[in-house]
Amino acid sequence: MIISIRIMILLSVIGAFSVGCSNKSDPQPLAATCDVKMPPPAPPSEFCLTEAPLNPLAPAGIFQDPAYMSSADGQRMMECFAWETFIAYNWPAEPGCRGIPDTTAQLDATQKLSVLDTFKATYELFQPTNKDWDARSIAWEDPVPDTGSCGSPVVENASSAAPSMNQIVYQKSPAFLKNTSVIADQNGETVVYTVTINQDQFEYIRQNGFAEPKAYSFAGPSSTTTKVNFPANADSTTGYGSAELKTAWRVLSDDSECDSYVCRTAKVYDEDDSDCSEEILGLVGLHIARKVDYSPKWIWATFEHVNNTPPVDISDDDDTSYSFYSQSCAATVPDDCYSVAVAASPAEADYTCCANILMEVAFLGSPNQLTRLEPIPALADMNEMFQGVLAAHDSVLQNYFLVGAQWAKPDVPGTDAYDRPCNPNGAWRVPEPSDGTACYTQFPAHVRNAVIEGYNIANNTDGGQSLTDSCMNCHWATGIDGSFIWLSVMNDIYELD
Amino acid sequence: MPSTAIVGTPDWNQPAKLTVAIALSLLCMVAVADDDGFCNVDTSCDSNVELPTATDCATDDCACAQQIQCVITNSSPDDNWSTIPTGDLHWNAFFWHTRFLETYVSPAGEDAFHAALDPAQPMTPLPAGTILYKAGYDPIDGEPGDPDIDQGAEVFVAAKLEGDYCPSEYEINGSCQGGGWFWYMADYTASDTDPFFSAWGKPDKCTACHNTAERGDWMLSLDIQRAYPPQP
Ligand code: HEC
Repeated sequence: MIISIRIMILLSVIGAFSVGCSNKSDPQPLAATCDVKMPPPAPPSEFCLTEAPLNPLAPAGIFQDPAYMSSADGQRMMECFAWETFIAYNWPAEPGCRGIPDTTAQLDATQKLSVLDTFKATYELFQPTNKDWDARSIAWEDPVPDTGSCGSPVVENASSAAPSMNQIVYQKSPAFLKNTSVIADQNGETVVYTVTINQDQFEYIRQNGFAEPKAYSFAGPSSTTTKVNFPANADSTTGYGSAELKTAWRVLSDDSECDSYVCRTAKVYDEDDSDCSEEILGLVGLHIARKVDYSPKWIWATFEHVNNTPPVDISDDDDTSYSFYSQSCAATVPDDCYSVAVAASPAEADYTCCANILMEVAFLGSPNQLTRLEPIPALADMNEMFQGVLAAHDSVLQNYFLVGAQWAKPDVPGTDAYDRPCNPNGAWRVPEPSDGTACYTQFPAHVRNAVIEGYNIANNTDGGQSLTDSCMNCHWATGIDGSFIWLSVMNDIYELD
Repeated sequence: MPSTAIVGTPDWNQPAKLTVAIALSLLCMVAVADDDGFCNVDTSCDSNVELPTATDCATDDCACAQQIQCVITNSSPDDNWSTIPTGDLHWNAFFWHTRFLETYVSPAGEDAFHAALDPAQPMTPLPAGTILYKAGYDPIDGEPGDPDIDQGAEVFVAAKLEGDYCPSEYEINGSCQGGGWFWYMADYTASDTDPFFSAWGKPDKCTACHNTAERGDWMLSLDIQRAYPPQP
């Protein structure tokens, strides 16, 4: 019953907004010509119990306060939410518009620019090295500027298997490793990243002046009187609530793998020589953080490509060629890997096969050996259900899976519990709450994208490794309302002029 | 040299005790020079050496690193400085640094450091003369067990000097990468070469991570304290 109501709402939304869309068939670059309004979100996610809905509109949020649910129900609701968001963000975009799905398009074998491609790249809003930057005058619909070192972000003559991404890719190091280390795939190619935000987050930052020159620093807005509180769905401009995304890409040698990857051609900026190269990229990881009602600590979802790394229980005769794992490397791994914190100098070359080890610039281009360490926390049936429906549509999205969707489960209903995690972990030494203090459980306790957080694991004294950190734990330890956006734009800069 | 060998499984959730030490393990992350040129540790320190000023360091950052390291060597931190907060040599499970770590604060910064741990007080930058000094060791022969303290340490330092150290190329949007600190890493581990600085000044490998901790004067332990004030 509930499901059929949802479908009716969806159909009426699609009907209402597909009327009046223009230029649908023109694969034109983004331009400020969009006369389509953002459709209201789909109804909040429930549990995806029996079907995997393919909906072009992201869910407004979650339909119940997880404080009143069992953790199993909460997990299901959050994973359903994560998958529905993943589908909506990968939905073909309304040409010429930003953040809006083309509700008449289908998910099929064709590679089309998706909603994800049209979110705002952080460099469009933040220009920390330009003291005359006027962030308030930037409009959501403005096209991606063509004034930086790479010029127009549009790659001419991109193949249809890998359409032009239309934004510059300028981040090459994982978080915290600015210019000192990279993650490389088995071909020795460096993984590259984008960070983007949706309209609600964009408007909040812009309207509050939080992107104006000198109004912010690494730790967010400089104002001591304003406390950043990103809007959740109910109090946001579009009704979706704030969203931040990080995408991670392998550099492919040609477009032959594009039948199994989300593929784009993009200009990749190299800070060292201020140079740009056109590359064919295959999506290997996607972080989606959304702030919605009932989840003020955000919902942290991460997806990976199935060929990134083997499952924990890899069998001896598994001959899959993984992008970030080599069976032959695994066979020659030294037995004292745990004793080397970082492979830094050529003397440590023997250690490059060590799982999840950080390799310094001396090893630029050495493949990383990344392993999963624990079974993925996401529900197997949820992943299978969505992958199955996507396979039926022949979509490359069938090759992705949800690693986990992390959320805060308050131990008592009410807002007090959101101040402290009951189960802190990771490198930051977040203190445990004292007895009797309300707190929230980070559920699941560990979520790690094996590529994006590849090196963020614990080396134990017994020689083993384990997972320890998580999205929420790290983002709430030193982030600003959970966000590292200001840090990100100050650490990795793409100048528009 | 530190005398306490720590063995055992790390306790990830042990509260404040090791917070400072671990957080400081993020001071600097790796051991390859990223600055142009080479800078040797001065192994015959003048006994009267004094801390350079930020202006001195802006002029000659290698000489500056050498002087600071001489001040540390002359003070014999393991006899004369406090470890913070009570951090004996301990296992570091994370990818940053060496597997065993121990962190000291110079006497000039000790009170201010402890005061800054109280989030009820406004965060005032730690005073000139504060040196946070971390010595790191590998396990003996790569075997589980004790740290190889005879091998020589990898040294990680953040020093507050007279006048904030921030050459203009490190200033972005009105703030300075890595705050007003002078950062360096020195490598004493190789027996066949003299110790050398593997990075000094404002290396990305220190600042990229410490930039997350601006609220705590670029020290993660102090920053976390502000995000999660201690409870009664
Ligand atoms: C060890 C700390 C850490 C962990 C764990 C971590 N992140 Fe982040 N994340 C960062 C930092 C630092 C940045 C900003 C620098 C950058 O862009 O690389 C960031 C950036 C992001 C961004 C871009 C927007 C922003 O806030 O800057 C998203 C989205 C994100 N992370 C999601 C996740 C998700 C989802 C997970 C869990 C699967 C996760 N992160 C785990 C530290 C972490």
